Amino acid sequence: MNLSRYLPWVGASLLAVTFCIAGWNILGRETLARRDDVITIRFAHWQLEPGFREAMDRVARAYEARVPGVRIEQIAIPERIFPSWTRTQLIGGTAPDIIIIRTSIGDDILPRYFLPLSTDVNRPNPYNEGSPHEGAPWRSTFLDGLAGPATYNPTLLENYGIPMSMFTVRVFYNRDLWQSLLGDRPEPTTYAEMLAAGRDARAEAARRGRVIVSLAGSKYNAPLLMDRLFSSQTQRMTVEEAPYSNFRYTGRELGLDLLAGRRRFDAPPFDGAFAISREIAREMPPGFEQMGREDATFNFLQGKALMLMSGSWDVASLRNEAPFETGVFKLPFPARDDPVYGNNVLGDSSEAETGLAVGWGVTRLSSHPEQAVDFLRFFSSCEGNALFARSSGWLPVIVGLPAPPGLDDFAPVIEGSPGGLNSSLGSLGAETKRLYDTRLSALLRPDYDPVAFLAAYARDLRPALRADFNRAVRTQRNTLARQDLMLAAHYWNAANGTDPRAARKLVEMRENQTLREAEMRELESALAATAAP
Amino acid sequence: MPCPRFVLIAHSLRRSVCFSAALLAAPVLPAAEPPAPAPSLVEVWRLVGQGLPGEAWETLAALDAIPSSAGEAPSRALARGVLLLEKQPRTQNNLKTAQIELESAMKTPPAGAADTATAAMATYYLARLYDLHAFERDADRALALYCTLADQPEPTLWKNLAQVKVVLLEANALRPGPEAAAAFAALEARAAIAADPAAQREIHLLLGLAAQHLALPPEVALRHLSAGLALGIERSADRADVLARVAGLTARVHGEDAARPLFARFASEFPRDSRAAMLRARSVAPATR
Repeated sequence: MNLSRYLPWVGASLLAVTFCIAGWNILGRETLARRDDVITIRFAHWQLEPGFREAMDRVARAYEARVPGVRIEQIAIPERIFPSWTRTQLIGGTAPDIIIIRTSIGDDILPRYFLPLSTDVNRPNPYNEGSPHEGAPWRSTFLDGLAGPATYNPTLLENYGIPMSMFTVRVFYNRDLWQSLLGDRPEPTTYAEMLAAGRDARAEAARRGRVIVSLAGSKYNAPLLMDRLFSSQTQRMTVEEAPYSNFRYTGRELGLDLLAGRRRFDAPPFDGAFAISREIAREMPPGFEQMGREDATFNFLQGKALMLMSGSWDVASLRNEAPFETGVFKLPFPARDDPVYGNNVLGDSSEAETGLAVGWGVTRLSSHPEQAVDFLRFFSSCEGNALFARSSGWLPVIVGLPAPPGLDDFAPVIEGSPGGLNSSLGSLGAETKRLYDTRLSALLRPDYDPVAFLAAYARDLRPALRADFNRAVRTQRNTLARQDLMLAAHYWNAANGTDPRAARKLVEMRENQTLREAEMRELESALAATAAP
Repeated sequence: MPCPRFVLIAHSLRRSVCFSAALLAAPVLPAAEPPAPAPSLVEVWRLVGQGLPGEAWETLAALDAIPSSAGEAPSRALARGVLLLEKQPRTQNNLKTAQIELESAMKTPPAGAADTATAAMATYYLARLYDLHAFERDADRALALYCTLADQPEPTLWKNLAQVKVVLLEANALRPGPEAAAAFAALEARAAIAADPAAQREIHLLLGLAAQHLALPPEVALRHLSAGLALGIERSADRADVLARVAGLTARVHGEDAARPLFARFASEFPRDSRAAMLRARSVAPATR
């Protein structure tokens, strides 16, 4: 039989079939949308981790059971294309009712396409009736009072997002392998104990003819580990040498001191910070900087690594996929009596500032914004958030809700000292971060010379700091300029009674603008004073 | 040479698949937009307040097509001047026009309190043009305008803001050194004229921060930051930072015992700050720990 004569019809047939499917889909959706008794609310996200979509489905079905006549649909988009997808949908007027607001959505996009929720969050959440939060403003039921960056825009002075979870980072370990190689040795409580456990396990495995590494590593996991240990070495300086007596030496203040020559980077505590980063990096497989997240996870699941540093977002997948029992502990800092690193440390760091994440916003394109907000009220109620946390294995964000079973070890540890500055000096800017990234390979070289490394780093840090500060001044200037317009509007709207919150916004904005402008002028003066002649 | 048949088939298949994908992804038509409100200055400022200056400018342009009453002309000029400051893309031409509009609103002979406020607001935004919005900053002209406004007898928001900006500019001009203390004391004396509580608070905060930058004795910064804190700080992050500074400075000036209540207050007011646990521990006297 000659198949080639049918080939031209394949395309036409495919076209006809997909036309029918598309027609059926659109017709079905239109029919559903036209039904007066059914309101459809669609929400979009990029969370493809195992358990998340199922958890959201459960919350959606629970809401549909509570509120008849509403249908909730979820749209899962791969993370890689989510930003462009969101932008296209918003600009094209086809966005769903609810979307996760990423930090890349700036002050220009946010007010144009998302509804401010500040008035709503000041009212009680009706789905909290019968709970300890009954009658309390919706805002106050969240652990951070909805003041964090996932929800509140400090330029626009509005809440746009409703968060649903928060994340902490822990060291996962292969409990079976641990017991087989280390016996009943307890989980480490200091950095030295963790290092020793990894090395002893590796030696014991080698004695048995098996090759393992202490820590699975990749360009994704390694910074989680190395940055925290880097910050252990800057901790004492950050708290005790804060120039303004507020127990917090910021990256900006440190950068200005470095530029002005009031502090040296090729000296303590930075030598210790790089030494500990190098030491822990050498416990990971060679070439980890080139490996992806999935390589590290695969090595750990294959039993080729004793430990893996990752976040609470990976709990469900690691526990489901690992053919062994996993254990978890918080990354320990060096003890204060550690002979090498102890002098720079105050103690384990507090996680009190763990931010709430995954903020959901209601788009202005929603045909049923009230219903969309109502769904957000339900899923951030005690009942909804607890159901989500139980089903997904993610941490809840509502005050008083305990971590779901099996996640106790991931609850933020409130006690402890403030952490120090990390390798990017508190996210000072792209150039400072790039400098560290480009120097990582030199840090890991076998012929590493700490004196030469630090001298070169300190030399190159100066232009990187200047570039980042110059960019910060430009960004701050733009923000202040936008605030000038908003200030005029709040004044007018308060005087004319157009916006009941305008008077309060006016007070908050002028104070915020004054303090930020003082910071910007200080930065400008410092840049001018330290410019090369 | 004719195209091989399989190439044609492949092209046909690719086109079909693309078209099919487009059909499958066919969006539902967006809901009809509600009719736009009639153009008015109220609508213009409402849009600016929502963070939509582009839409506000379009509304103002529509409003300008309608002749204004004599009373509304300065307010429209003011709105045009303010919106032009940040009209995108920012151009010299727009800033020049903004300057002309603001100067015209400033020169309106006051017929009542509203006109006085309009003129004061126009003066303030002209100063902001020189201080912040211009491509080349002219701090001297900005300071002169702020000073003019700060000395006006009528109490307006813009006078209060101008008083704060004067302190900000003058404090920023101070440099550490032997003369810093005397120059700072002179600035303190000039700043003391502010009567509005919000302006007083911001001035105290600016002076407290400046005293720390200038490395003046810690008592000076402590006095101003304590006064600013007592007048109430709106933003939680700034309140936490100032309270931490006041606690730390109190420990330096008056000793750890005097600072303990402030450490306890910090831990209680800001439990989600990473400094809270450490300061809670320090709030307890060693004997009772």
